[in-house]
Amino acid sequence: MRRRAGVGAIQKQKLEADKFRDKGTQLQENQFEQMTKQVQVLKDNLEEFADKYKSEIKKNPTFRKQFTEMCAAIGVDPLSSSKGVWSILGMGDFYFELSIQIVEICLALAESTGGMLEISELKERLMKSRRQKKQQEISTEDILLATKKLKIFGTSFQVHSLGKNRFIIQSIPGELSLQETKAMTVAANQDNGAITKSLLMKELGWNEFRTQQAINKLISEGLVWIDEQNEGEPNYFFPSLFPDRKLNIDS
Amino acid sequence: MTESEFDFPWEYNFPPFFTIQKHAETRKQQFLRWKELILAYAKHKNQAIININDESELFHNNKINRTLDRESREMILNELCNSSNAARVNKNTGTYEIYWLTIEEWSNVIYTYALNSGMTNSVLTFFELLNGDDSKDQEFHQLNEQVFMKALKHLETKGKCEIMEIDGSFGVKFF
Repeated sequence: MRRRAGVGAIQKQKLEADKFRDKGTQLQENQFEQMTKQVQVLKDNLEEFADKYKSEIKKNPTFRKQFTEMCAAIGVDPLSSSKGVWSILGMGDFYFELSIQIVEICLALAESTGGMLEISELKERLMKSRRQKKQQEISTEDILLATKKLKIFGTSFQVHSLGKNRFIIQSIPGELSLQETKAMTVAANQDNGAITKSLLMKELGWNEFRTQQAINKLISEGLVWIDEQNEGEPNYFFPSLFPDRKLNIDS
Repeated sequence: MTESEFDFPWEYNFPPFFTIQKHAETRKQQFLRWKELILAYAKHKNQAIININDESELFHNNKINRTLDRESREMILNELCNSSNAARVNKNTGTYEIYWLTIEEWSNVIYTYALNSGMTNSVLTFFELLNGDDSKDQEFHQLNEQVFMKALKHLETKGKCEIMEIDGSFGVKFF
């Protein structure tokens, strides 16, 4: 005959469960402690490394990118911390300065571009304005990183992806709809940075109503100019993507 | 004077620049750029008169096959008139006088020149002022005589000069 479970058995079970839990917590803590130690060691090494290759990191954008990725992996924010690794490098200043230059360029061009500027063009302009100062190369990654810091200005200074490794910075306040971003991506893949209604319908599989809505929105935000002298149907141009405008960088 | 090619701004190659934009903000920007272009072009060519009926390269870009139609030209020239950068000469022929400097600004430039070069109180002919070697470096050198006359008339109303006619040509005395 089986014994019925008594109070004692239940208490014993509970005790065992408690013990297991305690042991688990302890193990977890141990592990965490170890990992913290490891990360600390890694950080120390990273700082040592940063100090050793200071000039290389500053000069070489590829190297800088890999280094930034390494930092990101262990949770060091290169820009917010003025301590540790980055103060050794003075990198905070580097990106801070870069952000300011980005703002300056974006605002100076906002009127003629409708507030949109491709990163590739921005990079060229940055290089040009920095040329005199110092031989510090900047990469697209640097620009993206610096732009991220501009998010504190609210919806101004957002970065939109235009597909394959192309980005555009929006320096006017306002939220771009998904439709607009898609339409802009199609335009970015045209030589002249222009779209027509039928092109959008074909590329994005939209119906006419939706396409027209997207275009109207782009017009009302000053992002496209209409060309009614185009053969067949109106052409909508993004000044920000218009190649001839970019030729003027040197003037 | 050697005539160099006019350096058109990028907008000139931007097809929608030749279609009047419906969105107010964009149109404002467009008019501003057109005004700048017309004034810069007129200055470069030293061309005081623009006829909106002419098939000028200014309003027609062959390369991209775009034309600013007559109505739009009129709109933009009206804008120029509003900012004292143009004046309609004849509605029927569509001619306008273009002032890349306004009459007020021209009169200041001329008067400052007269003062600085000690030409007050003596009679000078329009011809020597406009074409003489002395004024070669001046902005008003070889300026259209009608425009020049308007600037001087403006000065005259302020009592800063007196225009006189001598044997069918004009002279001026600055005070």
